[in-house]
Amino acid sequence: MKKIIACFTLISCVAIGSVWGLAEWSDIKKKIGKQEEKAITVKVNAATNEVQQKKEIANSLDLKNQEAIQERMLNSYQFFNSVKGSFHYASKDVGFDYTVNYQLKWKNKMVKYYVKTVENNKNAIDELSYDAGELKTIYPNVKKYEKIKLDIKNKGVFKKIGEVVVRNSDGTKEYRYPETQLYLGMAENSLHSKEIAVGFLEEKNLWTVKRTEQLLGRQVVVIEGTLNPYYQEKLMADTFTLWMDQSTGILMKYETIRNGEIIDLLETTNIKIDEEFEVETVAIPTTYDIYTPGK
Amino acid sequence: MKRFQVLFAMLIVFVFFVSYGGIQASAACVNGGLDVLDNDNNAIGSSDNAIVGPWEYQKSTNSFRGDHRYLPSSPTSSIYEYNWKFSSCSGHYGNVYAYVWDTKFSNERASYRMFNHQSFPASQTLNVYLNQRTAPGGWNYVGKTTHAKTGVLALIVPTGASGGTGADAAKIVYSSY
Repeated sequence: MKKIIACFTLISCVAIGSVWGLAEWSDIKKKIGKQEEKAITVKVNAATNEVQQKKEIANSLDLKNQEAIQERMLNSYQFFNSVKGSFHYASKDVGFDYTVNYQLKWKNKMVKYYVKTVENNKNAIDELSYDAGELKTIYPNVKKYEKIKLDIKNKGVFKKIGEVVVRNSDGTKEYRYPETQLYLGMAENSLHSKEIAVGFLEEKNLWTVKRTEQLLGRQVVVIEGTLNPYYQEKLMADTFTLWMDQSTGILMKYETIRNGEIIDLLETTNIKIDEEFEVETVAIPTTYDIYTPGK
Repeated sequence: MKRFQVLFAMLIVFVFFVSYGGIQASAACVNGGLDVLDNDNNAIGSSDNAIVGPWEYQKSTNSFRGDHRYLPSSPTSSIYEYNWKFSSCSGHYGNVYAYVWDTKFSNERASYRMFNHQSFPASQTLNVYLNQRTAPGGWNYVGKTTHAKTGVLALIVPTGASGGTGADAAKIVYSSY
């Protein structure tokens, strides 16, 4: 009798478990269906955005429209397919001095890039490259490397400046830069200068377009402005000048200034845009160990 | 008596299976949900954070919940880290934000990584960069995970960075696409 009761209990539990499992599976299927619907919507939106991006590229930049200037710098990736060059980036305030070499090429919906950062004209402190679905970074000073699988399918979505700065209900500000999977390390300071596009240029009464001029064979927009109190304290500077490539939004040069002295300086030393070149890849020395943060 | 023992054992097994799905994932791990972890989350030296290197604990009125960690200089022969130990979440992408407000935060090459430890070896799903020196004050979007997996967020400071590095609050907004 006891055995029969035990068997009955066991069967009941299995039955309850099965009913519960089927219910869960049904929920999962519904969720997958909803996700597929969203994915289709995202694809349609992406196609619409691509059309908008092409229109943007075709348009010349209105130098009287401050938002258009900010958006050109903020969405710079959308305005070129390949770039190769280098820049010098230094600060008297905190004492860094870098030379950054970069190569980036989009071709047939495939992307490759390479960035090398050299400190004080001596040692490479890091090198990174993306090729064939893999982003590799090496740190020669500590003989470590990182690898991450990454499937870059597009440049991301063009974002209007009005969508970027959001005031949260708790009073904090949120800066939602455009989503992109082009992670170019130090080269972003020139090729995708999102922090400056949004931060330095946030208060439109503090800056103006002064002129256009030629720099390294490119037409650049020269912007002069006053830093807001937050940046004045942070950067130990009062004013700034930016030289933005008019066609692509690449930040070719910038200076922050206090009492006539340059405090921070970024200056492009050579650049080729949409020309043919080969992109290097990082070779990981066999003596290097993998680095896994966050353990 | 044995009847009750068998029933009790079955009940335990059943309850375990029902609740298993929620054991490891964050409660916020749903589309549109968000998780926030501060530095020293809820207590100095909190188990929600982990540190590699001499990060100083500092109070500041501009910081999230009034405090942050600060690393005045970069290492000379290793890599320093500040970690926010978000619960592992699979099935959703993570849009990751870092709170940067204190004007001492000036690392011109702050690098953020994310690892999901539900698989072995742990899978890296974020490899992004933020210039804390030129970043505006507030929540700065640092990037989206490469796969629908989130977990521990690490701010890494390799040799060479010169501006002081700040670690304040971090936030993940989950998304199903």
